[in-house]
Amino acid sequence: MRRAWGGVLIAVATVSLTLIVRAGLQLFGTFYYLPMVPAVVVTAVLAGRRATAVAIGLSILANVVLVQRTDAMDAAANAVLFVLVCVLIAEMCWALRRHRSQADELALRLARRDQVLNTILASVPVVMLDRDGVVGSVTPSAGRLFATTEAGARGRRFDSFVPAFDLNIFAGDEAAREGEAARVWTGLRDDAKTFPLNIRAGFMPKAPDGDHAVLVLTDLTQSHAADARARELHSQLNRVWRLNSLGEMAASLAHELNQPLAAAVTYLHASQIDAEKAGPFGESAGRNINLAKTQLLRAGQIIRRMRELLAHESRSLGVERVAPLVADLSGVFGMIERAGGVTIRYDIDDLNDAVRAERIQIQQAMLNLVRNAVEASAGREGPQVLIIGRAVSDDHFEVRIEDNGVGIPEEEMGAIYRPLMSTKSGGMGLGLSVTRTIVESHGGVLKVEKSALGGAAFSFRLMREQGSGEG
Amino acid sequence: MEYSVFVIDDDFAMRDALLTVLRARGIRARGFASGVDFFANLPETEYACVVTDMRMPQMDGAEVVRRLAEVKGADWPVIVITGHAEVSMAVQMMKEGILDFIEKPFDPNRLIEAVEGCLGHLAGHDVSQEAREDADRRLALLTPRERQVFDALVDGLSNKQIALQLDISPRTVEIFRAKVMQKMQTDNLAALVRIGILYS
Repeated sequence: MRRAWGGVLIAVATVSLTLIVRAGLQLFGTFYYLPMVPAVVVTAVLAGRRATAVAIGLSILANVVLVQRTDAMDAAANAVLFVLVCVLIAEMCWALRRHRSQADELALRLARRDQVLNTILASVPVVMLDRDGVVGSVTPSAGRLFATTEAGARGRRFDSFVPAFDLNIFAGDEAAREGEAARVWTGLRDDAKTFPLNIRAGFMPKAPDGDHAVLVLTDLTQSHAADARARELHSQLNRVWRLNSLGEMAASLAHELNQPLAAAVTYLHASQIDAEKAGPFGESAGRNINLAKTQLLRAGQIIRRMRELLAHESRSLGVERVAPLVADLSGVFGMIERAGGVTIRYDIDDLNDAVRAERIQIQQAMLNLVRNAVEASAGREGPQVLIIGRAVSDDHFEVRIEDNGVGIPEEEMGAIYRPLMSTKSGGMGLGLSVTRTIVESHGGVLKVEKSALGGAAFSFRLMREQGSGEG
Repeated sequence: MEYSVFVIDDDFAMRDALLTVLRARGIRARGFASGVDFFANLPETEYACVVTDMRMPQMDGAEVVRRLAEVKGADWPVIVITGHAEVSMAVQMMKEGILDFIEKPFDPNRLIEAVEGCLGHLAGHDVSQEAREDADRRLALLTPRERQVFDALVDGLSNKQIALQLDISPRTVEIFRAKVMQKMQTDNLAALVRIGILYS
C-alpha cells in the first residue's frame, strides 16, 4: 500500500517538475505532449504500472486544462498518440529491467556453482588427461595421493602413476564402464610405495583446450585395511567356533552316552549279584558279566579322555572394555547386516564398560546371538537388531541383544539351549549351547525374554572390573 | 531301624538299574523321575538317603540339594551322581555339605559303597577321629609334587587345569593322580575330597 502511494507520489512529482520545465521552455517555442514523455519514462523506471498510468493520466489532464486546442478532435488524437508512445516506452523499460535481474541471478548461481566445484576439486583427487593419456592437470589432493605436486605431475603419462591404466578400457560401452567402476587399481607413489585405488572416468569429447578425460580417484587404503581386519577377525572367530562346537559336541555326546553306559553297567552288576547267589553254577556267568562290565567302564574312560581333551575349561579372563570389543566386531556385523538386509543398532555405555572377559570368546558369543537375531528378523517388516550394553550394578555389566523377529514360543524356551536341537532348517543346534557354555565360563547366565521390539531378547552379565574403568 | 534310599533320575533305564542293584543288595529303595515329582510326593520317613542325578530338566541336582537342606536338613544326606562336566561343581557341593558324589559311568560297587556309607552315617557310626588319624598317616607319605596334585584335585580342578597350573603335561598329571589315589588307598575323587575337607 505504502509502495503504491509512493509510486503515485513519484508520478505527481515528475509530472509537476516536467510542467515547470515546460513552462521554462515556452520561451523558445510551443510544446505540447513531447516534454511530458520523460516524466512518464522516469515514473516507469522508478515505479510500477499504476504509477505510470497515473503519470499518463495527470499529463493528459494537465494538457487539457492548461493548453487550449482549437478543436477537440485534435486534442483527443494527440492524447491517444501520447498514451501509445508512453505505453510502448514503459513496456520496453520493464522488459529491460526483467532481463537485467535475470542476468544478475544467473551470475549469482554460476558463482555459487563455481564455489562448490572449487571446494570439490580441493578435497577430491581429480586428474585431467588428454587423448594420449598425458596428465593435463591434477588437483592438490591428487598430487598428495601420488606423493608429488601439481607441477610435478603435469605432462607425465598417467600410466606412470597407475601402471595398469589404459584409457581405452573406460571408452567402452555402458556395461564395460560399469564393470570398471568396481575395479581396484594399484597406484604407484613417487616415493615408490603402492596403494589400492578406485578410478571413475568421464569424457569431454568437445573440450576446448585439449583435456579429454576427467578421472575421479578414490584412495582405498583405509577401507581395505578395515576389510582385512574384519576378514581376519571373521576367520579367527570361525576357528574358535570350530573348537567350541567340537568341545560342545564332545560334552554333549559324553553326557548322552554316559547315561546308557552307566545304566548297562548297573544292570550287569545286579545280574552279577544274582549269579553269586546261584553259587557254583553262576560262577562262570558271574565272571563273564564282570568282564563285560569292565569293557563298558573302559568305554566310559575313553569318553572322559576325549571330553577332557576337547573341553575348553580354563579360561584366561583379562580386563576388556565392551565398547571397543563390539566396535572391533562391527566389520563382521556389517557383513551379516548386508547379507540379511537387517539394520543393526548399537547402544553401549562406553564409560563403565570395563569387564573381566576372554575377548575372542565373548566376541564369539555376541556373534552367535547377533547372527541368530538377524536370521530371526530377516524378512520381517523393517527388520532390526539392537545391541545394548549397560552397567546394571557396581558388579555387573549386562549385554542384551534384541530383535523384532518371530520370537521364541513359550513352550520352546526350555529346549533352545539343548545341544543338537535346532529350530532352523540348516542349523546344527550348537550355537546357543556353545554361547551358554561361554557365558557360564564367565560366571554368567544366558537369559532369554520377550523383547520390547517384538522378537527375542537374549542377555548375559559380565563381571565389571572397577578402577580400570575410569583410567 | 530300617532306612530308605530315594533315587531321583530323569533317565528311566538309569533309575531302574540303580533300584535293581540296590534292591539286589537288600536295600529298600524307591525311584522318582524328577525333583518336582520327589518334592510333590515327599515320603514320610524320618531318616533317608537321597541319590540324585545332577543334570535334569526343570529342577537340577543342585536345586534338589538346596531344597532338601531346607526341608530335611542333615537327616536326609545326599549323594550326587554327576557327569564329567560337573566334577568341580560337585567338589564345591561336597564342601557345602553333600555326603558323596559319584562320577558317571561308575562301578556299581562304588555306588553301593557310597550308599552303605550313607546308611552307616545315618546309623551314627562316627568314624571321623579314626578317619582323621588314617588320613594323617597317608598324607605324610605324599611327595611335595603329589601333595600339590592332591590339593588341586581337592579344589575340584580337572587334569587339564592341574597340568596348566603346575606346568606339567596332562599325562604326567594322570600318573601323579594314580599315585596319590594309591597312597591314599582310595579309588575315587570323592574320598579324596572328604579327606581334603577334614584338613581345611
